[in-house]
Amino acid sequence: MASSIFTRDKIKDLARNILARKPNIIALSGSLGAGKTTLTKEIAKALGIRENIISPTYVLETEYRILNTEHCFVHIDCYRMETVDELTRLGIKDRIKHKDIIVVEWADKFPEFFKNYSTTYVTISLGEKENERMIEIL
Amino acid sequence: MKILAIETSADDTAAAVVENTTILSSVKHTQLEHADWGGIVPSIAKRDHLAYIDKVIDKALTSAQCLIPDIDAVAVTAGPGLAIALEVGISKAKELAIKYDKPLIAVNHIEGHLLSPFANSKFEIRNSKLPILGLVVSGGHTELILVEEIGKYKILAQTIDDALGEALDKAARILGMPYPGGAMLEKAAALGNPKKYLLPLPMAGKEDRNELSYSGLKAAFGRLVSAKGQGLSAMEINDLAASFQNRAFEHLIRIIKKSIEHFSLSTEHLLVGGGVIANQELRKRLSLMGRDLGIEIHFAPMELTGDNAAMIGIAASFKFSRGEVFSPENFDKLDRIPRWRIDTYL
Repeated sequence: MASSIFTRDKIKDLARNILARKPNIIALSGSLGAGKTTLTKEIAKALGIRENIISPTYVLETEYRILNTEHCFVHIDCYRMETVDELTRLGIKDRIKHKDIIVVEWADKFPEFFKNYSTTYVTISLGEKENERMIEIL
Repeated sequence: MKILAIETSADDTAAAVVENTTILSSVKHTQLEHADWGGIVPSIAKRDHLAYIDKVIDKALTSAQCLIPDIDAVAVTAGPGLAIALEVGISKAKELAIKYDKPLIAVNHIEGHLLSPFANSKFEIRNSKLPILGLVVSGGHTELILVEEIGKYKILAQTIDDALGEALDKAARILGMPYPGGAMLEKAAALGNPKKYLLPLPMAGKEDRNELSYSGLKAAFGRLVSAKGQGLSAMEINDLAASFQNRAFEHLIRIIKKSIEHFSLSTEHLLVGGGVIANQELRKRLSLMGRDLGIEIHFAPMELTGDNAAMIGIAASFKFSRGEVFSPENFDKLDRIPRWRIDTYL
C-alpha cells in the first residue's frame, strides 16, 4: 500500500484496519513526534484497553491485559536499545508464541528481527499540514 | 533500625544501607564500571542487573561498615518498572532475606522518589499539617501526588503520554544532541532566549482534566526544528532549547497550580523528587511558585535525583515502622508489579 494522508480523526479507522490484518507484531517507525504513541493509544483502545497508554521509552516495555482473553497487549520501544539482544532479552519470542499483540516503536532499528514473524509495518511521517500525517502500511 | 535496599527497576543496579532516613551508603553500578571494564561498558552488559547486583550490594554493605546480620530488613523495588529487571532485585532480596532470616519490604519506585526529600533531612511530617503535596518528575514518571499521610496517596495529575524527563531528552535529540541530552539541553537553554520561539502550551483550555502531556509539544518542536533546516547556529540552538524548556516547565507549573485550585488544597509543603529535579531552572521555578503560594518546597538531595536505592530504603523505613513487611512464610506473595500505581496498595 502506498502512503496515504491521514488526519487525527481517521486514526481510529487506521487502528482497526491494522488489527484486521491479525498481525503478531505491529512495527512502527517514524521520526520523534510523528505520532507513533498516538497510534498505539488508538490500537489499544480498539482492543478494549481502558488504561492510559504512556510512552515506554524509559521502561522499554509495558504490558496490558486484553480483557476476556488470555492475551496481552505489549508496547515495546526500541528507541533506547542498542542491540537486538536487548529486544530478545525482554522475552519477545515467548510473547509471539503466546499470540500477544505486540506494538514495537522504532522497529526499524532492528529490521532483520521482524522479518521472521507475521509483522505489519507502519511508517508515519509528517504531512504538509500540522494535523496531517503520511502513513504507509506494509 | 537498618535497612538494606535494592533497586533494579530500570537501567541502574543500585543498593543502599539506610538507618531510618539517614543514608549510610548508596551505590550504583556505574560507580563500579570503571574498574571492571576499563570505563567502557559493553552494550550487552547494559541493563544486565545480574552482572552487577552482588558487587553493588557488597559495596553498599562495606561502605556502611555493616554486615547483613546487622540489618533489620531487606527492601526491594517491586514496581513500577521493567518486569525482567524488577525480577532480578526481587529474587536477590528474597534470597538474602531467607538466608539471613530477615523480613522483606516491597517498595513502590515512585514512592521512593516522592520520599527522597526526607533523606538526611530534619523535616518531619508529623509536625506538619496534612495533607501535603508531592511531585515526581523523572525520565519515566511525571506525577503530582496528594500525600494524605505517608503511605496513603492520591494521584492528582499525571502525564498521559511522555514523561517530562523523556520529553527533555527527546527535544535535545531533535537538536542533534546525543541521547539522553536533558542536561545538555539545560546548558544550552541557560544561554538562550526562552521567548524567541512560540511553542504551543500543552493542554491549554483543558486544564480542568488535570493531565500533563508532552507529546504534542515534542511534535511541534520537531516541526519547528525541521522547518529551520540544517546548519543551526549555536545561538539558534540555545534559543530553541530555551523555548522548549520554558514551555515544558510552564506547563508543569501551570498544572500544579490548577490542581491546587481544582482540589481546593491548602497545603504548606511540597515534596519534590526524580531525575529532572537536577535541572536548576526547574528548581528555581518551583521555588518561585512556592514563594507565591506560601508552600515550602522540599527537594530531593542532588545525589538522590536519579534512580537510586537509598530512596527505596527511606520509603521502606516508613513502611517498616507501620509494620508493612513480608515475613518468610509470605515471601511467595511478593511479586513484581510492572505498572504499580502509587495509589494502589499491596
